[in-house]
Amino acid sequence: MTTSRWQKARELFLGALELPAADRLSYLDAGADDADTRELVREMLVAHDADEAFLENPEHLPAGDRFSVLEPGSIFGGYIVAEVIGEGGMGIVYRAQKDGFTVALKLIRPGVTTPGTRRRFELEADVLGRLDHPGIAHVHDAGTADTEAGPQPYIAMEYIEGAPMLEYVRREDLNFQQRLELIVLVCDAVAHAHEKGVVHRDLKPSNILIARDGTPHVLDFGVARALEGDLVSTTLMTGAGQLIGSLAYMSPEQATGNPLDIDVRSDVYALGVLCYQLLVGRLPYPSGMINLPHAISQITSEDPVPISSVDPTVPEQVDVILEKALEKAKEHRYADAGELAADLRRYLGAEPIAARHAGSLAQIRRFTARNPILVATILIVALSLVAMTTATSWYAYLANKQRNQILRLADLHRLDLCVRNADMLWPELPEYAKQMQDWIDHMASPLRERLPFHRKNLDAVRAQGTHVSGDRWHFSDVETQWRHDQLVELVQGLEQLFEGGGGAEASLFEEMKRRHRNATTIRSRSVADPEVAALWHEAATAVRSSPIYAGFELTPQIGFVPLGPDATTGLWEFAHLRSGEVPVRVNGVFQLQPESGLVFVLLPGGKFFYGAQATDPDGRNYDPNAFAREAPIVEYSLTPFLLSKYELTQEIWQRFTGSNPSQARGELLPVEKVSWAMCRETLWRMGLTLPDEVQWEYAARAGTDTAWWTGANKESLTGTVNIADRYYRDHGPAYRKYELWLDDGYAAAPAPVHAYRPNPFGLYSILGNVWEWCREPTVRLGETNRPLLNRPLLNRMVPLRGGSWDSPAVNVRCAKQGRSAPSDQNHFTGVRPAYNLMAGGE
Amino acid sequence: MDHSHDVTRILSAIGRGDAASQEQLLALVYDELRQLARSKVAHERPGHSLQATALVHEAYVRLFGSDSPTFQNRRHFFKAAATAMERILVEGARRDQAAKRGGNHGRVALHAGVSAEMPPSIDVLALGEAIDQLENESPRAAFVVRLRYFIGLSIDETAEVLEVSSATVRADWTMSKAWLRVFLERERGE
Repeated sequence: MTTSRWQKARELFLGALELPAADRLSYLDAGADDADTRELVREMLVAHDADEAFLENPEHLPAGDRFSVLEPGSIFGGYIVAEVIGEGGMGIVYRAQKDGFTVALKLIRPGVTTPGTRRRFELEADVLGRLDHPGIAHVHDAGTADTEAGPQPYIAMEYIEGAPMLEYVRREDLNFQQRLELIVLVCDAVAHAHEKGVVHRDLKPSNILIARDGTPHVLDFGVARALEGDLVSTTLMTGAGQLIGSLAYMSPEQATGNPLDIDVRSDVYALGVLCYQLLVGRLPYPSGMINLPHAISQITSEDPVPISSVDPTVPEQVDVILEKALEKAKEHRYADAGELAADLRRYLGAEPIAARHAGSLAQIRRFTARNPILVATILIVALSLVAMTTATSWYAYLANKQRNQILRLADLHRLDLCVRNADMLWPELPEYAKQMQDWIDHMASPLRERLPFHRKNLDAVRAQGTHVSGDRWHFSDVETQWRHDQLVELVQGLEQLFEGGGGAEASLFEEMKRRHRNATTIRSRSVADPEVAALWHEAATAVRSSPIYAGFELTPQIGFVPLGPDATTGLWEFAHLRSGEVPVRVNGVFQLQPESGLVFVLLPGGKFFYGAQATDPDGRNYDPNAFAREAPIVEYSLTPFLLSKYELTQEIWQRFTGSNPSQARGELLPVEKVSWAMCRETLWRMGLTLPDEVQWEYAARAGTDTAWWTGANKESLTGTVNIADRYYRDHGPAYRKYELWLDDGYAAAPAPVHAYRPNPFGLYSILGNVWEWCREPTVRLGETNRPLLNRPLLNRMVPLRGGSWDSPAVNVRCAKQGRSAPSDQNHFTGVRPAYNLMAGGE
Repeated sequence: MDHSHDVTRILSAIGRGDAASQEQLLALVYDELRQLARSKVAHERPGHSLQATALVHEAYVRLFGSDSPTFQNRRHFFKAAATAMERILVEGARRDQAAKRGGNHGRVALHAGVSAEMPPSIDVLALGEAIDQLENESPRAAFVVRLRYFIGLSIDETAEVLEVSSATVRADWTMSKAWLRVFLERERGE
């Protein structure tokens, strides 16, 4: 009975909402049966109009989850959205159009803004509108638009088609002179803003796009200012990793967080870091940016490594210029970007530069730089510890017991840095070889030299105590006990680093030497060596003339070697050198061994229909088992990419990570119990990536449009999948569905990655066996016909595809979209690596 | 710990229309969510707000064991999860209120771990009561509110869980929000 009252009120309410406000009351008078209902609905209409945000933003849910992505074609503040061109912690950037011209429309996440931010935004927009320089992306419009979800700050700026600075420099292989010239142009643009009193505050390579004609365009002027004061929320939203990305270019006054201290000279510092990095490929700090506190301490208290000690070919004038730009105290830096540009121009024009070495500290730095044996010592000890004036007092220093203690503590810290830095030195590509060499020479080796010294110290300390057992000793005073325990930790850590865990595992030091060797040889082994170069030439010729690839221009890809086309599919296949031995085909089939590396298939580009629908039997991709979220069917156009022929094996995972988390163990089984986050990290180490969901479905369908690539009936799966079959019944949970008609040869566990018949692209077990983690589809330039997909079922969930040994047939359909949390480690989930071809190749 | 056996039994009982089993499932989900929330709070940095949705998903995997991507039975589960999340929030609010009455202002209130930050500006206690009233009017509308508000499902996701169209959910949601506001305002006025 109450239900009918509700129904009546609902009808009235929804009906009234359709009408203009003026007509609503008469509509209620005519429609309501009783005064109570009429009054209730009237009040509801008032409430509805008063506050649409009511209950829309639950505070116990993270703000980021409520930031929806605009669909292409939707309209925001008069702009027509075309596509997403970038996404970060702060917001999303769209390409959008208004009045016939194209803009980059940046929407700031509501979670990182406050009413204060919005006011600042509007003020900033005013200032930014006054900047007019070809090197600065012009801000057309900025402000706050009212949307259904509440006020939404936005910035619309000139749309620049170009590459981020570092990528451009790498791709175009600019020489030293050209790099310097590029920096001067960036300085010119920033100098223009400085003349108008505008500070950028967040200069970094990703904020500088280089257009096709080689001119730099500085983006996001003043954005940091508008968001300033929300640093805490920014940290929460972006996570430390991204913040560190900006932090690396921050001046000491910014890193210590005093906004009043920031002026144009803060930008000078950032330009100095940028120039340094552009010239020698690394940041000017002695050790990497490990974490927030460490990064801040590097910026504020550790002197930059002189650029000439990183690369002795860098002329001294440039060294001096950068030293001045990177002074800790802003008073000692160039007064603005214009002065920096002028000094760089003087150098380029072979005129004497204005900058001079600063003083005694600079002298020491110079000395250390020219005396390689002392470099490590001075860099690591003198600069990070208290004052050390001359090199001769070094030995006296060592003799001092208190100094020993400091050295020990410092070495513990360095050991920690060393190990954590090693984690970041991937993948084994030529561009990282220098950093690996630095790690070996400047971080690890000095520690190794001091290992005997620390051991001797340990023996000396132990002479004062009594042995309990193992590494446990007893001392009468607390201080000696503490010193002993610290030394044990240090010596054991160093032994672990240099001598390994005692097992067959190589020590991290040996491992880094191996990584360095690989990084320096990979180019010749995969693309440069005449023998492999000939293979690439042959592959490119064959691909170009193959009807399958429709004239695609294949360029050599570093790290891969062509293995020729598959006899059945005609698709070209490639060995991934770093993951293991190159497998050999016998009668057209790869003979996989535990030591085998990955094989990748070059999937042709092309259009295909994504998704499945259960509503129209005559429509595309009809599948009576399709879920609502798999519709609508969308046509995508893909460019060629590489996808692994097999799921990643436990052996390969073990080789890259040193561990094997899998529950089922055995030869050539797929790795499982690996989370999405672990997979992303490990694939990054390998120089690979996760396929995106569209790529995955394209690969799984392999030209078919049925529920399974084998056909529309599940019985067609026989011989191609490991799923929950009739044997599974005896092992799996009782409530689960399984396929009584099928005997796939494996019970409730994964099968070896090559156990079944491959699909028409030559991919093995793409359905069943283990779910495969994917990335959410990203919108890529040049793929304008790709609309954004549905949001995932649960917020912050990531995709996985293909079902597993644990799934009934309906869950191994090509279109089936699985979702799981990025940290989930399940014994039915693994990964199939992908690689997006480098444009222009190697 | 492995509840999957219990869950299996309970789910098949719910399938047979056994109302007592729904309570049992709720109790299980509720325990799981609370434990998860607590362990998260213990390990997360202060000021870090927990993600209700991630919690719910994790609870799902823990309760249902392996084949989580299939989301079998997720309808029952999400309903239970939304109710459980509501209870957790309401309890947290109640504890805060008690702490305030007890003059214990200095203590940091944790809403059973769901939000370690500021207490929500909306009165969760009153909202909980209002949703109970709404349930008398329309059980489906009440569930729409719980799924949307307490665990953050979108309109489409809610539609999928309730097995109704998105348009129905959107209408229910618009209607329920206005109704709840009127209800809360009338309560406050009295």
